[in-house]
Amino acid sequence: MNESVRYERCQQIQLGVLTESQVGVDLPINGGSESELPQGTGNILCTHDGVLLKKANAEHMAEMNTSGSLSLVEYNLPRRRLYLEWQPNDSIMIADDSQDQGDWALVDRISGRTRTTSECNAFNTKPLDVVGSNGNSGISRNRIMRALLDDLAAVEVRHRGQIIRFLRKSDNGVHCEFFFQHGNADLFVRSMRQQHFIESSETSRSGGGEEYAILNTENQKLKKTFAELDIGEIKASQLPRESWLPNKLAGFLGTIPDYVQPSAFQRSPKNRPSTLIQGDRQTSPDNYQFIKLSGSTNSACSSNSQSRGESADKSPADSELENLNAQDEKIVNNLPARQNVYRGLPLNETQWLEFQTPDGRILDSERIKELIFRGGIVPSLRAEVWKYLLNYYQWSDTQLERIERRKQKSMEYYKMKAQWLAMTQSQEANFGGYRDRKCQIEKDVKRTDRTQQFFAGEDNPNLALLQGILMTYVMYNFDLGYVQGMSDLLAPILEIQVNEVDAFWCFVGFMNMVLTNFDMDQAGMKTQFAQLRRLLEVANAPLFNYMCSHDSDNMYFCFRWLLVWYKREFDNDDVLKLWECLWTRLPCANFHLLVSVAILDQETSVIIERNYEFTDILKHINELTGTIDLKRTLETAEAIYLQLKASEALPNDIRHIIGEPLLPPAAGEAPADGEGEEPAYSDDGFDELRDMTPEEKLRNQALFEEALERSMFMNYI
Amino acid sequence: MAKTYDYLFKLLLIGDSGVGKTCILFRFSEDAFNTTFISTIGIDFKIRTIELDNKKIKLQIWDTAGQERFRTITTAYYRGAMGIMLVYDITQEKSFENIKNWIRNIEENAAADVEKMLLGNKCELNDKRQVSKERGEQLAIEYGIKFMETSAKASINVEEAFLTLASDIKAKTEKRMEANNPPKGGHQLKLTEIRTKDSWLSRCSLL
Repeated sequence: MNESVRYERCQQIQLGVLTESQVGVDLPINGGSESELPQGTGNILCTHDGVLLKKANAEHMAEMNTSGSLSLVEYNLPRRRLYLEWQPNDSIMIADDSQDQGDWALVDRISGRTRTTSECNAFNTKPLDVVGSNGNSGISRNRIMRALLDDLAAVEVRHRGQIIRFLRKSDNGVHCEFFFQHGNADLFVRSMRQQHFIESSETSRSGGGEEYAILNTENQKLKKTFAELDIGEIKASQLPRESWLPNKLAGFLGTIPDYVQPSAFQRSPKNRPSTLIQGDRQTSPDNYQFIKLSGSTNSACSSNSQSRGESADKSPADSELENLNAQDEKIVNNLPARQNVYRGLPLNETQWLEFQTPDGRILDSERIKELIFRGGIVPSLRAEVWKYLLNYYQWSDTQLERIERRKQKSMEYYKMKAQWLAMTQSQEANFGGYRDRKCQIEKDVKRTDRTQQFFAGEDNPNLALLQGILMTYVMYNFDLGYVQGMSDLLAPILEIQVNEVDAFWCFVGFMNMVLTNFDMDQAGMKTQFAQLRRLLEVANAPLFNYMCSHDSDNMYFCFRWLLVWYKREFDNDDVLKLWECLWTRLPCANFHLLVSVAILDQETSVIIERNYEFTDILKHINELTGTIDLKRTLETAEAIYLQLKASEALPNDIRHIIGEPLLPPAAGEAPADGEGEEPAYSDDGFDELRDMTPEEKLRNQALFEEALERSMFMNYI
Repeated sequence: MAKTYDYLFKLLLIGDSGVGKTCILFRFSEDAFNTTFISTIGIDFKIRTIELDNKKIKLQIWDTAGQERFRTITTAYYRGAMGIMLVYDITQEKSFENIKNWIRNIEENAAADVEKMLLGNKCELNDKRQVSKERGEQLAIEYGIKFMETSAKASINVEEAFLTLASDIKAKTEKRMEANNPPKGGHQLKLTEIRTKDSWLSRCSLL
């Protein structure tokens, strides 16, 4: 059969290591029955990528939490034996990329981080012969975990199809456990079932999972023969529609926009010849294929015909489940592989000077922003460069224009400051809105960044500065006034600027970026939750699906992250680095949401494996404070952005969120409406000042000075 | 699996910003007081398991941001609460006046039969007192709820307050259980089976 031959080839190419000459003779063997080594050519019956080894014999310690592929392999010499084999993907990765292998491998080992399939694909550029040939390799790393199927008693599917574990026959203890990153362990189990290696077990485990008994070789044959004779038996033994499949998930999967066009997404051509991709794309989930049993006439194990819906003996529920899983796979695989992204060095003084013209203009602000986005700014330059990033200074201004602007802005600031300083007691008593704002500011100033040197200690004069700026902001934008969280946004700016006026106008610039965070009705936050939810759906389908099925897809647990731009999640130094990076507004709109996606990306396996509910997720997220690796988070966030950007079939609503050009509206797709619009820089009045006539300016100046003097005078008597 | 608790009660701390909700919670959960204050953004909770009448009770206590602006988010958490601590600051008249707004908020968003308790915090600051103890008591009587003056800083009545609230919820829960599910010999009660619609009881599970 042509098809089976092609799949076999494909499989061997994909696995890289399991070529005919290598599999079989003299492999280092571990696990399972030690007495008899498999001989000859291994026939892969089924295999599944993106599978993390979670539990196994101690000798596989180094491979724990590593992504790999799980296969059932048949060896025919000296007699037919079935082995369960797992081998890490990164064995393939390490061969090629000498530059970054250490870094990534090390990071992964320490944190137990889940490497996603796409990342693996990105790394899997060149296969490596990790199976020490002839078993005498100097590095005796038994990277393949192998167990004789006959030594195993049962298979358990747990955690909503994310985990399968194999139990030993000898003591019914756990032999090994695997985590399926795409939550589709059921596919693997189903193929084992269909090939009659296992059958549904009567005993239901307390963990709520499903259990299957592993059939010994004799029973397998019997079942197979029986199956060939009686189609009804196959029907009866079909995997029932999994009870764990939540209705919500089903509902969600049913409404997936049909934007995924298979041809738009290519896996790494080195992994698999693209001709094969084209050939099997329509008929088989992307990373899951079957190879027909060699020499067997049994057709029951060919899932290719089943997935095409040609099989007559498939129950409707089963076929629905299959569709859902296929859709799930589509989502998982719909983005191009994630690329490596690296942070750079901070913008330094030499570079900064190079960008300045003799009259003080800053050339090529886009390039500067790129440098800042990539590496931040050296501390000594922050005070100056932040003024540009926060739209207080203009890149095109000459030195003289900047001096003038600063003077104007100082005047404007003190004018507003004088307003609240001049407030009399009875005025205040009759001005509830003002009183409430003032009262809240007083409460919060006392408890903002007090562990920072700049604000520490009793009677620290910088507290008065903080309060003064926030009070002045109330006069500048009374409608917004003061909302909790704003003091968190101001404190680091004041610490860098020190000067009250500069800090105020920088703060205004920052506030203009995040104004909607403080909407009275929280509409801005809700919009961001919705946008974040969509981004997660596209960028991390397994976690998204998990959240949906655990009533956690409202993203409320990201509230603090988004409200104050991760101020509470990082130490002060990292906050400065993160903010200056985000202030560049590069590489795309709403990049701060991708930072959330990136942090969640790192927590995916923890959340899913520990089966967290909403409260657990919230707790876990809150407790991440101080533990998040900023550099890695920014790199991941950018890598995710590049994935989205490179995806040609990205739906328009996602394009809208990240500011990519929209696709021409296709049939049935409404253009994105105003929802999720980026809060633009509002006009902060720079131009108004210029528009005043000289006479007006003079008159205003005089009035202001009088008001200021008098208010100050009253203040000090 | 070893049973770690008999009841799980979800409690909520509400009240104006700066009255000491987070400090009360910190005192109860860690028996500590931190003088480096920080405002609460969003929502968080802490867990402490207590024992009452030989029953292990796991208290999941939610702490919320006090500013009115955040109520649209925090009220989402009212629904499942079985007990609510209403906190004011005895040195802040305004925070006491606002208790009635908070009560209204509860009535609109929480279950009707949620257990409530009024706490006048910062009672160690007697020289700055703006709200007398009598006024606190009077208000509590008005609403038919219990009242205590507490100090998270001096560790006064915080433990007692939570034990009282938990005990009242427990009594209510057990009464409800008996009414709905008369005990059978040796049969383990499963409270989740008698869930009534929209009742705080539905959040309680006997494990």
